[in-house]
Amino acid sequence: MLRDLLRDLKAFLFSALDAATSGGRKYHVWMGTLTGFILLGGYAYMIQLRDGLQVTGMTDHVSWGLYISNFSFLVGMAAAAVMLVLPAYVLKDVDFTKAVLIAEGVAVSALVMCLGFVVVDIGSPFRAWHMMPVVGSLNWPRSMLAWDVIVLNGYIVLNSCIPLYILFSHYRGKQPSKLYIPFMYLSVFWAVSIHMVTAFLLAGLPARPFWNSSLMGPRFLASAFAAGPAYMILVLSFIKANSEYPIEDAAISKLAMVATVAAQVNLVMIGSEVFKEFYFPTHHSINAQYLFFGLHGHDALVTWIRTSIGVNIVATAMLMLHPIRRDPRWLRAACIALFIAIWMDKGMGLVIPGFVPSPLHEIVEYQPTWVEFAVTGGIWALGLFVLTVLVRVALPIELGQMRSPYLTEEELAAAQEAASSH
Amino acid sequence: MTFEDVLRWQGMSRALERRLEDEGRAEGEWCTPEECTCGGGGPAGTAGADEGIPAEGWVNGEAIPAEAWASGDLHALHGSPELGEAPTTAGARAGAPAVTPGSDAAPRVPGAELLEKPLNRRRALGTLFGTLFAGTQAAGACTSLIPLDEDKKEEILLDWQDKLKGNFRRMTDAEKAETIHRLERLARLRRGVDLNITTTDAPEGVLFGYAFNISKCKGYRECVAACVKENNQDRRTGIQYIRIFEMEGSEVDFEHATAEYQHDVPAEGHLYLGTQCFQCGSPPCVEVCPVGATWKEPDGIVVIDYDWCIGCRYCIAACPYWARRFNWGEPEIPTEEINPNQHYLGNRLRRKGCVEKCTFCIQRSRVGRLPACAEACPTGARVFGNLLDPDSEIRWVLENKQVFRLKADLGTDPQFFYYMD
Amino acid sequence: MKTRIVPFVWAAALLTACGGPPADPPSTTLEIDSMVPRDVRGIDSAPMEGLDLAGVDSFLVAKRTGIVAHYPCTSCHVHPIGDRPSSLRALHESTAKHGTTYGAQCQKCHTGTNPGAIPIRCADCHAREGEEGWAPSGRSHLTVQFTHPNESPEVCFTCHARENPGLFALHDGQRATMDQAYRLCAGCHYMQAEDWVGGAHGKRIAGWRGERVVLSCTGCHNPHSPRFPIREPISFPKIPRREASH
Repeated sequence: MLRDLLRDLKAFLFSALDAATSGGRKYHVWMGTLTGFILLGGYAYMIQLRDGLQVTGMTDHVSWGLYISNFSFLVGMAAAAVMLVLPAYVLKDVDFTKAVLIAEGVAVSALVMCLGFVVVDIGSPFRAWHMMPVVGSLNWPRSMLAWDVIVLNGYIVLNSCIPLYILFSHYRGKQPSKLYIPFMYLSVFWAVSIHMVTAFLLAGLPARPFWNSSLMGPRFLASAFAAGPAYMILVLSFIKANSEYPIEDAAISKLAMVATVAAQVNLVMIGSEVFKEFYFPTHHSINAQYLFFGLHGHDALVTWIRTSIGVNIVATAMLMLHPIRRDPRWLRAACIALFIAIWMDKGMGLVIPGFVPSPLHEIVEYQPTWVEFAVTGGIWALGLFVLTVLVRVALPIELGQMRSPYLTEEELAAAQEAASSH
Repeated sequence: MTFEDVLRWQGMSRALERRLEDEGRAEGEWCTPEECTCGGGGPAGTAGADEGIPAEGWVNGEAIPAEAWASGDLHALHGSPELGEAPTTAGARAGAPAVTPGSDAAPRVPGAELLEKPLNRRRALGTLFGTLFAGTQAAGACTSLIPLDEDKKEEILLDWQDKLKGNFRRMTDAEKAETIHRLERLARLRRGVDLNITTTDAPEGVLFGYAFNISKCKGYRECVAACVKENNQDRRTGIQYIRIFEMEGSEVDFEHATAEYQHDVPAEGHLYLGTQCFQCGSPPCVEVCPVGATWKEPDGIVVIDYDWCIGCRYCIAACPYWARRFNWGEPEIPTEEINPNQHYLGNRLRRKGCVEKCTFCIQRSRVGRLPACAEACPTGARVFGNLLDPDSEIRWVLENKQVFRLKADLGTDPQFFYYMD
Repeated sequence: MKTRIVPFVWAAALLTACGGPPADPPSTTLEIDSMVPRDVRGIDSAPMEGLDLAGVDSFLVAKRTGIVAHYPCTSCHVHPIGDRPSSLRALHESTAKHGTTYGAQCQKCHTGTNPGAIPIRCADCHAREGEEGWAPSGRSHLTVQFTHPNESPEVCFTCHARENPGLFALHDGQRATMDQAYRLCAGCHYMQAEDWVGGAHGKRIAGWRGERVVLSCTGCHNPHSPRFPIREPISFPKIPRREASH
């Protein structure tokens, strides 16, 4: 029994490697480009490791920058997988059953990026073992960052193991045992938790009134459930266009609906924050003033945030109009716009103004360096690389094209039938 | 009229200075503001974690009997040079267990080392790594016919052991002593300096407090200079714990303030207010640290174990007073400017990628001295003392003057008070 | 455990350092608690006297006579000033050297019909630093400029005793030594004196623990120009990207 399992596992790994490394010219160009970016990012990171974080644009005043900005955005992307897992497994919505594996792939790739951004942001990455149990000392439950370490790693384990188990079972021509269902439910709660914890990580700091808002958690969720499904729509549309994987149009339109509602809620929340900051500005509004209008001639983020909000409103409006939302091309355009707008808002637009001006009202602006851009690009490329590989392996299994070579004829036929019946 | 003139009125300290020079600065360094990080004191390697300050006094780490003090027979004690030497050599031996002179390129069997010194897992691991690494280097060096000398091997080994040491709070006294010896030896090997690193515990019944007179501060920044020298801050990026804000008018308002003033001070119609770490009673920075690398000591000082810090900078984001600094690059400090009198949790030499902050000069305050900033202040704007002592100056200030704290509404309970004349 | 330290060693060291006999050999004994930091040893100080200690433990004030001994008053002031102003030997010698050429100079001070009876306002002369014939001497206090209080010149004898400028003339007629400047200052600055006794004003030295030793008023303030000077602050090299601005 165990011997069979190991034998199949070995075969599975080889098949996966085969699937991930073979493909058409476009595929190789794509993966080659990603690899190039990863290598460039790696080179930049080597420089950062050698010289320290002084090669970044961060300072004692703006002590977190592009890395943590991307981290806080990508946590949302990871959490957004719940928007497919929840209907597919909990609500048993059949339209989502095929898309859910892709969503989990997206979650895993987003988490890889999250962890990547955390690692490159750490000043002494070789001392990261201080967080490990037994040999280290994790300040749990006091530190929200300790919580974040736990929930992120837990979520990546959940989101890799569940699809892996399903795929592997299918690969062996078996139906997965229902044992994984509790874990599926767990992952739904976990998804919300990773995003709330990350929001609390920022919101729990009275030192930074810009973040110290009870709306931070809900706003994180709303923006994540807008940007996440938007991204998912783009990925699913691409897969649908480039493979015979049966993705229901209904799944995409339902996702579009989710994105629309979430984007609306997100806009309401932005509006309510803007009202609170500017109706009667206090000392605590100074960061928002810097962000939206500039302060004492420092206005590095003004164009940035205004662009973000403008694009956000346009994208939300597009999604709200039924004819536009139902047209796949317009939908994709709206999704791209929404994704970019929220990335700008939840990244630089959220993290940087928390530091400018400083708690003692000193203004030091932040400008990322090429090293940061290169490392950030490298991590994004890594995430896309992981996503591509996962999709590349998952699709043929789910389509019944990739099966264990040790299956008998009857088993193979039965599995084929099962795959097509889904 | 220059500041020198003002200092002349403190001429007493000059006289003392000269006296100390005469005596070779062997014992107590009572320093003047200009040179408070003087290389006073010799290498005193034996000051252990639990020894504290003896009743009789110290010369180069050796206890001096009360009678010697009473009879004034100090020169006899100073005269013996081995007093200063012996502890350091002992430290070197204790800290360098594995590499023996004469061992060639092949490293010693790590297993044997483990059997010899089963002190702890991590240390053994460090020895293992270090030995292997030194061996690899040596092997590489052989091909280029450049021998890897003993010091280099010892340094690599100690460095690995140091990398794998634990959190200071979890160390036993023996481990602390060993760590200290290792750091002192490493400083000797790397920089050629003899350090005196202590791990003095918090004194009983003491809670440190600080009061700052905003009517008295004139913005000279003497305190900043003294702090940088005393605490071995990175000279290249100019890390400063203290920030003196020049505020317009008579209102404490950071919105109309700057710490970057470069004109003659005090400027008409401005007040000067210094900030530094306030050693909060309920410190948000401690709360957020994911690895417990920073904590509040029983005497109220919030400290950082620099080598346990992973450099996530969450504490910097959490501090409402912008009191924490990060080593963005490898800190640089000229060897001759290193203050050798250090505390493990205080002014010892930092490394790239860790956070640091004001510790009320823990290396000084724990042994009864004033922090460097308080000692350097030419206007007497800084009052430091024990909040638990009803007869202390700080208590008098709190009970007789109007005081306020910055951002008291945040509930961080700073132990740093501001008052006016 | 208490250890008694006879400060003879330190007095000797201080003497050697100063290079001359002190005006007033230290006679007080410092009582050092076992917890006192080592820094306190050797600081020559005397218990504070003459001010109200309400609610405050007695404390020590660092002495200044050793410093003032650098400028031995009696080498110039050979007679009590109050009796014979001409006893300011150095001053008059330097003026007299020029004979009658500088006769007009005498009248700058001695303006009345009875030259000997005219009170000399020290600032009348001292404020003229730089004028011909008034070259400052390193050992005199000719360069002293009075800016106390409120920039208006004062008579030396507002503070210094006429019969012995090395002593202070308190308002109640008592005399205080140079070590007890606080008694003199407290005459007007009673608010500051109260803060100083309590610890809110002034400067403690030699550690926060153990016996309290503070600087006297003149330890920080130039008595002839007590306001702190306006001067360049210490600045530090900054790298541009860490620079804060407003």
